[in-house]
Amino acid sequence: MKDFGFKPVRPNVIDLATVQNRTWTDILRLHPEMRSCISCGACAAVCPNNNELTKMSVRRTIIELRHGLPLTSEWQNCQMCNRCSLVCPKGLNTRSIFFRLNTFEALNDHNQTNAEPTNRK
Amino acid sequence: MITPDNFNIFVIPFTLGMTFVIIWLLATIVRLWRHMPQADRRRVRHSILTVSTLRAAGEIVAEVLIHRRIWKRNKFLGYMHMSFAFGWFMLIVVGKFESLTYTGNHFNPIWYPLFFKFFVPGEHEFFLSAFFTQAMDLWLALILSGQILAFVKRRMPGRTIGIRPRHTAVNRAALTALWFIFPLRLAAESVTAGIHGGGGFLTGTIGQAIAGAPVLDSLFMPLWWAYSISLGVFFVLIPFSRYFHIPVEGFLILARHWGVSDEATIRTLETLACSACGMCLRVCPRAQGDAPRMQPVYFIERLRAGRDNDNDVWGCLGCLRCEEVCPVVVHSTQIRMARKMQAVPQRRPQPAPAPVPQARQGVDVALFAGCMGKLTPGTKAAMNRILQAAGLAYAWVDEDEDLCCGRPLRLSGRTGEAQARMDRLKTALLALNPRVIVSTCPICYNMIRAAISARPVLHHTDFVAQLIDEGRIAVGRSAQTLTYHDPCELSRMADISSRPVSTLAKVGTLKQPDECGRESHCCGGALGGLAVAGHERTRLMTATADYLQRPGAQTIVTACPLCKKSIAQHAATPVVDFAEAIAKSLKTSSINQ
Ligand code: SF4
Ligand code: SF4
Ligand code: SF4
Ligand code: SF4
Repeated sequence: MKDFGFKPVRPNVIDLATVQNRTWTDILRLHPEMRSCISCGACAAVCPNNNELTKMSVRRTIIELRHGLPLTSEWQNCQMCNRCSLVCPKGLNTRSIFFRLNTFEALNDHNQTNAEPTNRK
Repeated sequence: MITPDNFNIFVIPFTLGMTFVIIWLLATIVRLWRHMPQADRRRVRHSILTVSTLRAAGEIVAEVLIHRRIWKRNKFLGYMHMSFAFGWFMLIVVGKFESLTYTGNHFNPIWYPLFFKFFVPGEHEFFLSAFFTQAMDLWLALILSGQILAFVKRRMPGRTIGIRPRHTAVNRAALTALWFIFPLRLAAESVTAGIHGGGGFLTGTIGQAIAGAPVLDSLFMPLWWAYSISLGVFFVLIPFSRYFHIPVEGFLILARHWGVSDEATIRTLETLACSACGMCLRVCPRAQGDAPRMQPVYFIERLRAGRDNDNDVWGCLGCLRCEEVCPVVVHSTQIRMARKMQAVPQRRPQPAPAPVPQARQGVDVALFAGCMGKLTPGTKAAMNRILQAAGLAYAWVDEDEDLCCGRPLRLSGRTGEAQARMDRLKTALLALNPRVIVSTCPICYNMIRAAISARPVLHHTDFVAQLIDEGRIAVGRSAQTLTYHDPCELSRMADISSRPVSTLAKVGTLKQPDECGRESHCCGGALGGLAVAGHERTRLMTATADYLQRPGAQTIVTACPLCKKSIAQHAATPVVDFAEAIAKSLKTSSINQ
């Protein structure tokens, strides 16, 4: 097959990123549907935390995750309100991304706090 | 005294099993007691000798033995549960009295009443002996009739109970042992009657029919052994299977009546008291699709085994339909909530936000649309019209700032941050110094009324209904037909379901679906569904939208922004908020401005 520099992952999605990154893979494992995000930005438009004062954008976070870039968005501000998923044209449960990011961190925290007592002796 | 008259080696399996389950139960209760806070222990000590114990006893009879709540939902299932529970209980009680009357001795060995027919075969004349014999057969017949129904149920679940839960291996093993117990008792007692005579209308009749058959003698001991072993196996399996609910449910009812307030104790008791009856399975909207099962019956089963999974904790919509039908009143969403809090890090709440501007002091009504309300501006506009018509001074507290009641964060297990959001909202609301606080979102309404007691807090359906009742606004009835969808958070959680309907009846004709009010379906958009996949959610939304369009009304009315958005996406019929339906029917003469 001719290499166009991108490959279709599903008939209706073109995945420009070939980067493999752990977080996104983990999210896709739990929510495979996130692959079909079309980066339209409807989610970011209705997000209560997306205004001039905050550095939070749902769409940008998804793009950064996909491309394995450092997360510049203050995703911790997500208040799980569900607005993003109600306007998503692809019907994705968008907020589950932020919910998962939060629990992934829980795993890290968990590992760290669990490591402590053994060092302390 | 143990003599050959009251002991035979075959009673050992039963006795061991029985002793084991009693010890296990006592250990469980003692452990719970020791983990209970001081205040609750004091409360229990003070309540034990009060009327609340009697009330609890009444409820135990009604629920644990008769299974009243199951009867109400499903006669078939009710009879089945009652026949086993009540029948077995009566076998034990009447058996106890039978052996007591016969021996005149209170301290018969634990196995004696159960195997009475073995030790005292044939006919004997003692006080009420005929009554005892017939009564014991009656209870046995009752249980066996339930068992036949249970068999039918397993063969054709669709005709009788809808979806049937799939049980784990240990539950199936316990069930098999249970199914052997009563037929074996029937066989053992009938054979005994066949050899020695006696027996009631059931065992006696069978005994007469088979009397004289040469195999009876060789069947006699094996049957009594088998009966004892099946009992023993069942008892040993009880603590590890769903049948532990039999003894625990009584303690749960007692704890509730004694006013035990400790969440952990009640949730543990509820977890153990779930009978895995599967009634929650039938009503759960998520049970219809092909998604992995997470209904309370499965979740609790796995939780007890310490094997609950991600989907169990996060896949629930929190629509409460399961709790509405649960005969044991297991608050499964709260059990899930506790698991959620264990699963996520409890962050420090965010730094205190800027003080709330106190511009509009002393309004009549402080309104709160909530985060989802931003997606339904129609509701806000309608409330503005209604309040202007009523001539009240009002202010939307979240006009310029996105405030949040914290529920979404709470549902994702982050209670600390949720509390910080609530505190901020509370400050903002009270800063307006309102006479009454009104929320157009039932989720926010539930949160605010739990947090604020200084002011009356109303959901807008109640508030608007009150305005109409007080004559502050007037509405006109038109020929329109309406279907009202009860939001979960309003009907099941806040118990507001009849008033919106009676108010809407003043502006049009209602065409309600079969399942409405506290039984209403879930819109699918539920805030709890954090890990519900988009396509699954779409399926839920479509199903509910279809269901609501079935009565064929011109308009679907609901009272929650989330329900409105979810249903409107998938319904051809227009969907409006309660406020919009009322505002449209306002009599123009009543509009002051
Ligand atoms: S609205 Fe949906 S499709 Fe659009 S960017 Fe957000 S998640 Fe992607
Ligand atoms: S759920 Fe989170 S990301 Fe989505 S709109 Fe609400 S705050 Fe923004
Ligand atoms: S949670 Fe309630 S309805 Fe569900 S299986 Fe348990 S007892 Fe039955
Ligand atoms: S709350 Fe709703 S979605 Fe969750 S288990 Fe109960 S019925 Fe199912």
